[in-house]
Amino acid sequence: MMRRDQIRAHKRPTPTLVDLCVQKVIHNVRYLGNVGSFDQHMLEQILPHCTADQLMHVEKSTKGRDLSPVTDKLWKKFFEKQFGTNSTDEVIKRMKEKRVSFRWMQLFESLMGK
Amino acid sequence: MKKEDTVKLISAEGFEFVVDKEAAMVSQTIHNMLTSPGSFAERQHGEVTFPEISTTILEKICQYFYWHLQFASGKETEFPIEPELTLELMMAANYLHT
Repeated sequence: MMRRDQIRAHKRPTPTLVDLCVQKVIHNVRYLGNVGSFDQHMLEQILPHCTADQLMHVEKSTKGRDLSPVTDKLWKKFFEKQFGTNSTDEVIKRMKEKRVSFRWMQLFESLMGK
Repeated sequence: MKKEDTVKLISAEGFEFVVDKEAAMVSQTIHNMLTSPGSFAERQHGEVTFPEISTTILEKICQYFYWHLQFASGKETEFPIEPELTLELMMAANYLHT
């Protein structure tokens, strides 16, 4: 039989209120709009749970703040999923050749529009 | 409850919540306010005002403090969060390091 303090050592740590709220937001991510006031660490946890449509809505609803430090890598994933790894590599290659760089959201949007 | 064991948390609208110091100290921010050396008014009077936290949210935060103590002592229940409070509560909790 385990001693009481051993049992304690095994139990999960008490979630913080921020954790609990973040979980709730993730659960209701389809209602998410303007996230301009969210700290980056919250966005890092929440936004990977968005679909491309949901993330686009969040981006458009969030005025006056650049979300790309968090979302650029997410858009790259959506791009890869939508257009395949070959197209993605091709885009990266071309951007390197022309020494330009575009946000993955822009690239995703422009190809989706075609 | 002895007065020195409690702390008064005051919301933006001026509502006062008297809670155990032990509970309030679940918040790292409040903990720092109440324990940092020097003559902080918060420490002297055992009162902290939050001009940016509404009564509804502060009440919910006080409930969380007690839920946290219960959870830590082994009573693992769910903490209910109303969907309409979630975003405001998250901001306040973040500010309070809770």
